[in-house]
Amino acid sequence: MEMREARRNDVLVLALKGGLDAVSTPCVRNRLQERIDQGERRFAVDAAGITYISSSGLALLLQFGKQLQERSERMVLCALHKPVKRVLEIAGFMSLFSIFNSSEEAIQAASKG
Amino acid sequence: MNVVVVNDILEVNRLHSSVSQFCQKHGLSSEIEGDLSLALEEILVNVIRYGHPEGGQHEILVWLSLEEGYVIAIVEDDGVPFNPLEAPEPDLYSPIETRPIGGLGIHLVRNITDGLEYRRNEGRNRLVMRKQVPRSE
Repeated sequence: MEMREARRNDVLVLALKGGLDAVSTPCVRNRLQERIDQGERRFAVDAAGITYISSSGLALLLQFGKQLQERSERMVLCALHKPVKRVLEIAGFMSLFSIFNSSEEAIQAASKG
Repeated sequence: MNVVVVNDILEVNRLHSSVSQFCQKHGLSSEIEGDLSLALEEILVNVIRYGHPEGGQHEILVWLSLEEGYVIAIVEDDGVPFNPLEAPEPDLYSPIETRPIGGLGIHLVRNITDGLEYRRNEGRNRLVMRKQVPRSE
């Protein structure tokens, strides 16, 4: 799993590449937790490079979605591939996250308010 | 194709590679490959995480075959009895604050496969999963 970070105003854009599975999820979890602990409040996860997600990846999204929600902070997702979107749909996740087609829209939404 | 893995989470990588090889060999689409990888990962991860509370190294056997328009994926393990067909349905509707984390793996397996059969025999779990292959493949 490759992770690239970019800052756009007050939003940290995290671009992930590869499969979000039981093996790769722990290092993404560590990185996200590190950034939250450092005070990051707004995240846009760019999923254009994510080709696969299992329940381990879903648990990661939910865990951080909850954590950020509790602090009135936010995480938005963008550029989901069809198979990844399908897994999120089956898991009932589409109502839990704001999901955008492009990273530009996601960044705008994450930085509002 | 036979794959023998041990109860170590890193074995999920080897499982994905084996599924990929199998699909390439049989000219199966990336959609089928994705669903097979997902279904097998979920079952394997369950066995690895919860199957052997006493610890120790255990083998998990995986068979993949193509029969009459279906991919048949069989997982056999010597872990504690676990029938995925009896796993409760997860909560898919609560808001994020109260949505439980976990319990989604088996739900995904049920939704992306076209048939599941479970048997407990002589101290072993045996799960047979079927995935229909579209006619054009």
